[in-house]
Amino acid sequence: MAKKTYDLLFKLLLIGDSGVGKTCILYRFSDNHFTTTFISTIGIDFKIKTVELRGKKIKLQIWDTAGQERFHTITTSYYRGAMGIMLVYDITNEKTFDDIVKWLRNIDEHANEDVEKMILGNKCDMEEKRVVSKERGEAISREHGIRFMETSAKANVNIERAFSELAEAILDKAAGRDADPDHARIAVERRPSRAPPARACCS
Amino acid sequence: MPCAIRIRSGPSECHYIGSTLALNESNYELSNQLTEFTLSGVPALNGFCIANIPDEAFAYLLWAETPEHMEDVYDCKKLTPNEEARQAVIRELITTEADYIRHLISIVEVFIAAAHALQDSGKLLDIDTERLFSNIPDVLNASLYFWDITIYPMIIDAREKSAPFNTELMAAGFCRFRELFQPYEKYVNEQTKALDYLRSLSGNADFMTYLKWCHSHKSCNRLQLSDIMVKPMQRLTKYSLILRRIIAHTDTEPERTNLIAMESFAKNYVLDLNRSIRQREELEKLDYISSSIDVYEIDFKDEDLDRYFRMFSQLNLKAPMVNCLPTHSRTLIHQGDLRFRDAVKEMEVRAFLLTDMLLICKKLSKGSAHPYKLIRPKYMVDRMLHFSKITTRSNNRDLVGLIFVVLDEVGTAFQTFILTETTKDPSQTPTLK
Repeated sequence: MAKKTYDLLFKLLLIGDSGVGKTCILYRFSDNHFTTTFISTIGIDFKIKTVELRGKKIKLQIWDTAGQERFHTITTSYYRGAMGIMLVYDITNEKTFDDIVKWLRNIDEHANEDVEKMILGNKCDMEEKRVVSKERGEAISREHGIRFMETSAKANVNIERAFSELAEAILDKAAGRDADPDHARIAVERRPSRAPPARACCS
Repeated sequence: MPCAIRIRSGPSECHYIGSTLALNESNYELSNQLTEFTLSGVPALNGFCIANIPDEAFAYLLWAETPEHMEDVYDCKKLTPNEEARQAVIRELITTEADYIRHLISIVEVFIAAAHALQDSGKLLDIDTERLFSNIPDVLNASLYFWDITIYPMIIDAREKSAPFNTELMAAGFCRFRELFQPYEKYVNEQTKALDYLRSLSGNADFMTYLKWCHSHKSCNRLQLSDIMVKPMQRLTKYSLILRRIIAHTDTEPERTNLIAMESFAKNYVLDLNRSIRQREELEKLDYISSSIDVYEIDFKDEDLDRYFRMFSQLNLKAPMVNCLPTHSRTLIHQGDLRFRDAVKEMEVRAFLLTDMLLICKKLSKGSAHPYKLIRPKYMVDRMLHFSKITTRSNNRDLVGLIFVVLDEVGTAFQTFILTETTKDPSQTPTLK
């Protein structure tokens, strides 16, 4: 059995309407690092990529929900364990942007209270087909106090940056709690009685 | 990064460290027993009858986990690129199914078996394994039967003939998808509560020792229990997606038609399941609202009037909707804080919009029996008209509120009120549609 080669494990989740490019984002991010020995696409549940942040090796376990949008009550079970959620819309498709509010409500209902969120406006290489301006993306993110970025999985714009910013935000949050992932966990970490960390103030 | 364990001052922390030490001593025996399991194996789970499928079908579960095994079944160089792509998706279906079933086995043979063995010797007695694992043993058996009549025949056939996998042989299994996967329904319905329960146990030192031991078991593949527990839901949604991918590479008949039928068996079952969970969640929400709203009351200053009024003052949120079938149940569409004004009063309210009615409630102070109280009779949606109230400030036409007129059965107005955005907390999501 391989030895554990990471310091921390972060579970991330990609959600958003169908066709916004969730799987492409995932593959752009993970496959620069991994050789694609399998053609697996839909059969697998998640992709793994280990990144280094502030001298710590962080294993990102990224769960894709592509194709499962129709079963979304069932898939909300994924939300629970996620520490970070990428909420993706397509800048060339108005409806996917409108649905962001719906997805946010879903997150509020089903995810951990302290989950880190980020909104991605994907397909920003398709400027000529753009229907959602960057300003509107920024506005809705500001309104909900969430990070925002425009990305292109195709042209490899901001993909890496988005994941490391999200991971870093989780790391900031976790820094106080998970001191040593192996030894402190049982005794100290994750006591439900401890008050959740203060939420970022957006008012 | 701060030091390994953050020492905080404060009485609660001291108490905690103290109790951790005490637990560590009682924990010692538990750890010993777990070490014993590591050395000589976990005792088999009492009372569990694993699915009655041929040993060979079991053996092929292990075999199928190695993708190379399947590539050796037939000579893939003889296939057209499209057929090879098709076969690759079929292989993916087989490998991922075997891998999935192995994870289910690890829950039963490691997690549940170890928990029961510990409980048999008087440890972890405060853990409700039924609540934690729900009916995973039944889910495992369901998937084993599915494997036996769906995937296994296809593997046998391909190996005997050294031929590509024949999807026709999966038809018998997918036709019975709904029947075979029936145990999943209970599991999917209960798993949110199971995960909540798992999380609530994170302060239980004995349980965490046990869990850590389970996680170190190689059959977990370094996944945590919470990851493995969501697998049945994930897997259920994948069958129709994988079949769709196979169909995309299939241009021969009757394979194509039959695969489409298989896809719809799998998809329809999961859609129905999705719907039933959703309905249950809606009903739970309605129950919650029913129990958190105090009934509408009028102070008549007359004992008899009060008494007779109260005889009929129940909320009745579960009463059938007018002009609807009894199977159509009322759901919560939206709720939010708004400012309410009518002829009598102007105040901050919590409004609940249900399928056929609008409830105007005021928040009660903490410590009351109910968080909300209905302060106006229910307004039935089909008896209301609404109009926008618009101001024209500095040439901008802004919607500032909605005016509602309530009509009686013959269309005569008897009440009117306006809802505007609350002035109290601007960060609240506005509820005006």
